[in-house]
Amino acid sequence: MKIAVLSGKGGTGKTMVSVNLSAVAGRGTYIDCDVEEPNGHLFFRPQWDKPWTVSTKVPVVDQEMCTGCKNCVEFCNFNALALAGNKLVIFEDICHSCGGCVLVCPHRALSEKDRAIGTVNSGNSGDIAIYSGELTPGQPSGVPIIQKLIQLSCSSPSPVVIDCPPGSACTVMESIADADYCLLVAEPTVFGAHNLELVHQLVTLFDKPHGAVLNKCTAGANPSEDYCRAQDIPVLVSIPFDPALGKLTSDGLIAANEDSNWQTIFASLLETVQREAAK
Amino acid sequence: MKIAIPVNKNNLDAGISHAFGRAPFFLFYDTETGEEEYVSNRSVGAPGGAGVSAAQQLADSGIEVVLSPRCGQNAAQVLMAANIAVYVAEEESIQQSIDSFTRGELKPLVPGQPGVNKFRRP
Repeated sequence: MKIAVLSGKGGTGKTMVSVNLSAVAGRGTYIDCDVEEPNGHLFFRPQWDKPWTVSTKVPVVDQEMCTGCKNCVEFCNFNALALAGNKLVIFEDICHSCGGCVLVCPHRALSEKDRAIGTVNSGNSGDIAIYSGELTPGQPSGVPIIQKLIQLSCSSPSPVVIDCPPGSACTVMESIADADYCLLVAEPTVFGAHNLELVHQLVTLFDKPHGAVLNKCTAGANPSEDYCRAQDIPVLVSIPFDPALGKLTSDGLIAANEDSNWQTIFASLLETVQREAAK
Repeated sequence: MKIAIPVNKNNLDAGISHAFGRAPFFLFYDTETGEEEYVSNRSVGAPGGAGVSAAQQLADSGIEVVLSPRCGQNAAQVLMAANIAVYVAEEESIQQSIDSFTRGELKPLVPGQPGVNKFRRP
């Protein structure tokens, strides 16, 4: 059972929900796919094993072999290569590692080399296996790191909670690709509802069973709740706006481990998700 | 000497584009013959690397000098490799910029820090 926790914007409570789900499960796996700013480990404080380095392929040119035919320059959709002053210039930051330039070079002047873009850490916190990816600042895409996280955790114990990056871009798609169920966390604002709509469209496109967690709910209007009602999205739990929960979380504590009320709420959420996913 | 200026439209009144890689057109101007030609920038809609590709287009067209308000790091790298000099075009009008350049009044752009996406003036 793989549960992806996602939201259209940052700060809705993805990590808070994810770590509490893993905590009430007591065992299982927590994967932090928010590789630009992984913070789930702050709650679990795991003992890390040796980290993996994640690399992508980028082209290297043998200028002696290059005749300046520009086949590679013309092939590259991302303009990662240029021929200037009869020399091939390669922009590794722009390269999407498709390998096409190497294939179209008629003179075998191009080959590929590894380029490190980040790391994956794994470890344990009690009976919970923790995986956390970290993209090196300045690198353009965390997708290869997420692929490595998913690959490494493929035989890790269930339930697997996947703490996704915010938004609905490629990194999120990669994070939810193997999920059995998607949990959409949303705030009670117009902005929150708009971003909920974006991730809702994404999980619909991926044909994933899904439900919503409405976080920071107040007595006032809740545009995200209205959206869920209009779109027939089951609301699995409404978490009230609660400064005490905020304080626990900002102290790096897992609410379900500290307070029996939160233990009950998240245990019930986990049960509901497992029941919904089995449908 | 063949110079290129990123411009907003394909006429002399259009004004200089503040984007280099995604400028709609380039004005190619020959300082010896006074000949001018407006060329579409084929990188306007590029999914990425517009600066690199636009610089490639200028290198392929035999441009020797670029007059531009700014220029990204990657584009600059290609222009430098192609021995194309880049000067800061501050004036609003294309003609003023050409005149200032021919009088030797424009300053060369020097590479700024990575990620700033523009050149620092000397």
